[in-house]
Amino acid sequence: MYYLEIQRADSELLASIRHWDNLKAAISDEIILVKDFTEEQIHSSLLRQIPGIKLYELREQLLFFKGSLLPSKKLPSALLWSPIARALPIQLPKYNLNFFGIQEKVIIKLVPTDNVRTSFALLSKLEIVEKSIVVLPEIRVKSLQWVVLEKRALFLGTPLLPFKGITYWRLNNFLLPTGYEFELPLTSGIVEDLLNRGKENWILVQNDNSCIVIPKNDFKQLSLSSFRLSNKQVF
Amino acid sequence: MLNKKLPLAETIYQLRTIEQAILYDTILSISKAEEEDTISFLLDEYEKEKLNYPFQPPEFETKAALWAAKTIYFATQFLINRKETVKDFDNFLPTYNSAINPSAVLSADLCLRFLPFLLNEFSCIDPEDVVIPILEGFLTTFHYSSIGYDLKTDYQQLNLDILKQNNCLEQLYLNRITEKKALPFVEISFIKQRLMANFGDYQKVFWTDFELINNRDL
Repeated sequence: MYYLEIQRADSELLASIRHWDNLKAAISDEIILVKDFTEEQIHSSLLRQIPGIKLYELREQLLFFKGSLLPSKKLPSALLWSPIARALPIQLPKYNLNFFGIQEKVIIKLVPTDNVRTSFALLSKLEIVEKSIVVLPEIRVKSLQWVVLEKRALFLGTPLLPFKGITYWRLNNFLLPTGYEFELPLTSGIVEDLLNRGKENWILVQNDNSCIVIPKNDFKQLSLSSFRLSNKQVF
Repeated sequence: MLNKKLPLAETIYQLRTIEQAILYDTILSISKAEEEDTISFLLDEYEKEKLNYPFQPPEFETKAALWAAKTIYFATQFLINRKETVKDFDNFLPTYNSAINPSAVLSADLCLRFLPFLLNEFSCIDPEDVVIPILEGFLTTFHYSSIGYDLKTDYQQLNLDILKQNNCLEQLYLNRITEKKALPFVEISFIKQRLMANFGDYQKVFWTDFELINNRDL
């Protein structure tokens, strides 16, 4: 049985563990006591980050400092234990009836991320593709879809072709540069509703936050002849 | 719709467009003009297919294409017409007597690729048919067209030098082996090496069973 003690004035510091709903808390004079920690919780870094806490072990109604052989004090009697969420209530800010900021706009933009995503699309310059595509085995090529974007070619599908270019990962119907994600991920659904109501398009978002909407029907199966014929038209 | 005067041209056209062959009630002879027609049609078809060939495709070879077209035409007719006896087969189905180079292989393949289907038909009707060994002989020579058909020969004995001459043909060869999942060819170590180079890291994605064949050798 572990007990945590913290000064009442520092109660806000417990915010980071308030969501552990197995905890019980009690308030006595100037201190707050918390009990019912699991073994895992007591060793977690979340707990150790809180400054000014004292951890006790309870043996025979005496509180021992964690790891100490001598008791430091008695467990105060007549404590009222209640779930931590109730013992430490949250005060919500008051609703601002005079808020006039509704004209404000949210800017949709990409931010770098550490999350690793599998690439799904590749954007490559046509002249690079032209040189390298003729040496590829058919099997690498035929499972892919492709479209020409001005002087670049966009390939959809995996495994990606071994060309130099920019890779994209897939988020629903968005293609985002690998290593980037939306700054506000929840807005992606709203943006999609605005740009792509029927889900008939791919939306290619570029690093400069601009985007290209490409109808899915415009994609064709990739083959050498498809590439050669299209390439002739572009140049 | 059928023009009875042009049996070869009609057969090849149907074969190449809707993959069906026409059976005539007698074996019709072929005029020189009709041969010209067929060749120009096959040349068109070759130009179309060439677009999809990797590297630098070899040129069209008239002789091989015509030989293959005739072979297919007569072989088809032999399915139901057997007034001719064994000794006549050589007249109708001569062996190809020119150099076999990448051009010839690819030009002949325009028609010869349908030979495996035809051979299956023959063995359904009569597995002992004397035509079967003759046609299988052609496929052994033009083994590019045989991929996917069990030749019942020793695959290690096939002459693969032609592949080493021309990277376009080699890649097409490997493509077809991959597409038809032709296992007998994988046992040839040269082919296996080239296929593994084709697959790179994605061997399991492209050909699940390939690994099994690989391990069997180890």
